[in-house]
Amino acid sequence: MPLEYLTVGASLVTRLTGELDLVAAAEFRRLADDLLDRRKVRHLVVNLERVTFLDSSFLGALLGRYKRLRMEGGRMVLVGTPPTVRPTLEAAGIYAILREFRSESDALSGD
Amino acid sequence: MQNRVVVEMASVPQNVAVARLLAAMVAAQADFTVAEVDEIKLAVSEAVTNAIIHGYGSQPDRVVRLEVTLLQNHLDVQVEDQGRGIDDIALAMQPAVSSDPDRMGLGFCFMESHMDSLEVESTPGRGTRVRMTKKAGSEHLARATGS
Repeated sequence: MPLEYLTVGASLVTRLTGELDLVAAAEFRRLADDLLDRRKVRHLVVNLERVTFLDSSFLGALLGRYKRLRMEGGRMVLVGTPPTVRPTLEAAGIYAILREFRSESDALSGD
Repeated sequence: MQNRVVVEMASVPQNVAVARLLAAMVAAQADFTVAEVDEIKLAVSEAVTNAIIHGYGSQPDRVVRLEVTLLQNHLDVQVEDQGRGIDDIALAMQPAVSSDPDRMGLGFCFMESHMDSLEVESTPGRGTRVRMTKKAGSEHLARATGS
């Protein structure tokens, strides 16, 4: 899975592309946990703009990182969910726990 | 249109995509809408993931069998494994019940809500077979009749 990321201050910005399933879930989990373990970042911005599909494996990986960040006092937010994947995130109740922003810069500044 | 595709694949995570794309390609031969094909992809993704993760405990050298049958506008998808099976199917099908803390237990919910029918047969120690069906256009029909 193409997974692009950058760190901005204490935030990890992940830009995911294409279809996110078990394979992407493992890669996302490995990347986020590695940077969190090494105290490189404390917050997570998940950019979904270029995602065309996601299933419950990826939702589980998202939720797992959310739980971890909440325990460690970090923040996790979403950016730009496309209309095609929105119903899946809604069904899983993701919007009840994660705030969504229109752009990465809004997410980083918290506006 | 009538078609039938049967595939046996290794129980590796990469084949979750292979399975859902294959089902989507068969579905696209009938009158399914783009949204309906997306729903089929999600349901197949969940079924094959369950076979790999729960059926086989992520062992990569086992076999997942996928059978996709199209008869006019009816799609029938069967996903079968010879893994550990499910002790309590009713319990496994409840949301938020998962044997893995990093998973949400939404697999069966997504299969049920995105397909017209879902049947699960399982024998502990012998394996699990999931059968799902969907009729093209049923979404619009449900909306039109208000049901």
